[in-house]
Amino acid sequence: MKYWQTFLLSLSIHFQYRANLVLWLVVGTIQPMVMIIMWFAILGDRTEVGGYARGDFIVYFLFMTLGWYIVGGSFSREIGRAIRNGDLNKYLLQPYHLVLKCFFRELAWKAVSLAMSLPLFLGVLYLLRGYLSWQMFTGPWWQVALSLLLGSILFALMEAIIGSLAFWVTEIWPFAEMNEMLLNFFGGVLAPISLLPMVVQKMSVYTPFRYIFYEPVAIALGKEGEPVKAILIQVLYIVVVYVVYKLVWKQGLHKYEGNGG
Amino acid sequence: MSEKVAIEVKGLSKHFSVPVKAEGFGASVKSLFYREYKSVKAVEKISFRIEEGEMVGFLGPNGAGKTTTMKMLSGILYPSNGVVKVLGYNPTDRKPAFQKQISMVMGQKNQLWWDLPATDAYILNKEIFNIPTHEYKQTLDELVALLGVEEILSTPVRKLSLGQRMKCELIAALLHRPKVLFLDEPTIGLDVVTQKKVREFLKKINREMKTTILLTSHYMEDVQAVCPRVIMINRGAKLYDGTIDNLIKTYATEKYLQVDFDNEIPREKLEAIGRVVEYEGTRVVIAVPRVAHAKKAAELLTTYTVDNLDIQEIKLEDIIVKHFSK
Repeated sequence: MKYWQTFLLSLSIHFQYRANLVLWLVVGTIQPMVMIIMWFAILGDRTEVGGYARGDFIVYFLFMTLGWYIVGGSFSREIGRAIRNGDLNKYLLQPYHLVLKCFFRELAWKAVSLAMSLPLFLGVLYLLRGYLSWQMFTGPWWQVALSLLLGSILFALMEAIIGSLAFWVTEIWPFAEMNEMLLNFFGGVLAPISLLPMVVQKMSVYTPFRYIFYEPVAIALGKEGEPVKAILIQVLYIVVVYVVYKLVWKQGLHKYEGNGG
Repeated sequence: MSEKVAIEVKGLSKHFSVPVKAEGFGASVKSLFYREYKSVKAVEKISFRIEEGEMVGFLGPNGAGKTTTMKMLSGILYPSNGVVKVLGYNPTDRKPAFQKQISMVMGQKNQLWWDLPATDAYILNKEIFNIPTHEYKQTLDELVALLGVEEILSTPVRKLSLGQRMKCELIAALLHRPKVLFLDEPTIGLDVVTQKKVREFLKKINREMKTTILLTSHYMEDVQAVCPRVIMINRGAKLYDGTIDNLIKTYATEKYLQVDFDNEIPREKLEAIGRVVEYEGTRVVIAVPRVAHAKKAAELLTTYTVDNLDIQEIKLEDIIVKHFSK
């Protein structure tokens, strides 16, 4: 209940800053539109590239953007800030965890953004309806939902580790940027992984990044040949990353100097 | 007073490792490859016991180690050495059962949400500490009435003054009725009226809720007003542990007379009244024996044309410099 309350309080704050939300919405819409236009240009007269037709690109990038609102975020920065300026102190005094607080606070922002972007999203789908058909969504809904949930847990744990690095370094943003870059590349945010060079595709199998955004979308679009195996790998990554997070957090607290009040 | 021990500290130390860098660009480049560290002893082998329901002042100048000690007692920092037990718990285990029995108010850090009214943060605290609704309502009503903040509870925190915010912070810290309350400079930056109100409030909750209170301050007035017992530390080491009356009787043997004269008075003439501590033209601070301060003040007023005269307690730093610096 305490984190549900955190979610509600955070929602109330976002309602106060409506202009910010609209601006984020514009920024968030630009990236998928640029990617769709770029891939349309690459396609030229061809009907498909690497198994992706025009409709596939539209759906892939729009769902990647929507998926970001469900799975993604950037709350490592808030964790890092709280550790650096001593705000963590108050969380260590209460049965209330900084990482979960930051997660739920961001979840509220994502929920509002998602709700606001849905009409826009549906509008784009309507305008481009000529390229689309219902047969594109072949993944069983429970596999898609489960994979999305697991992807968001994995992403959150990685954000928590990056944020916890603030126990050792003053600025965590280079790590956050690197994480984002690797997600863009190995995680299929910039382009579907199956369109990247074979060496990148092979490497991506051994990183957690493809199991965050790419796999849920690939399962939804029927582009993942072994969805159950992909889900099991997601679970395995969650276990490993969770153990790493616990170790980092515990060591970090021993290092913590509680500066700033 | 109950005989149960609330806080027990034995040989508590905290050492920080601080990077050392020489001046200049060359040293900055060198520090990229090799960094030297020195160990700073923030707290060194401190021991004391505080009984349940006691109100203790933790005195010391800035950088004495007060806040670091308090952070170890509340579980924020791991000690480098020594043993801490608060209500029988090891604070750094951070067990929820322990956390539900303590609270800490830090002068500059807050529990409230900047953009929302204080009541929203209180509801969150109710969930964090699993406070039953009827108990929450009762405690909130009591605290709000005690501090007189009914009018401001629905105002966003960012619109409140510092004093109003501190009062709301105190409520947030006490909603779960903690048995031990740590207060780090609770009156810093507050006006005199609010300081007084906060002190009265602390005395009242100590009396009525039997809350054990440990309060840090570098204002002796703060501690004098609320704490019968004081622990004084400097440079991480304990210098004094006893009653405030005894501290004043033994060490604060002087009072300060801060005088604004209409015209400048030669220093030598003022030395006849007492020890001149500060001399800045028409404003002078003179240290006089505590027992004779009224007589000395009267002497000043009758001998010279005085614009303003203020009788002040001797500063804590001065007691430390005078009696404890070696």
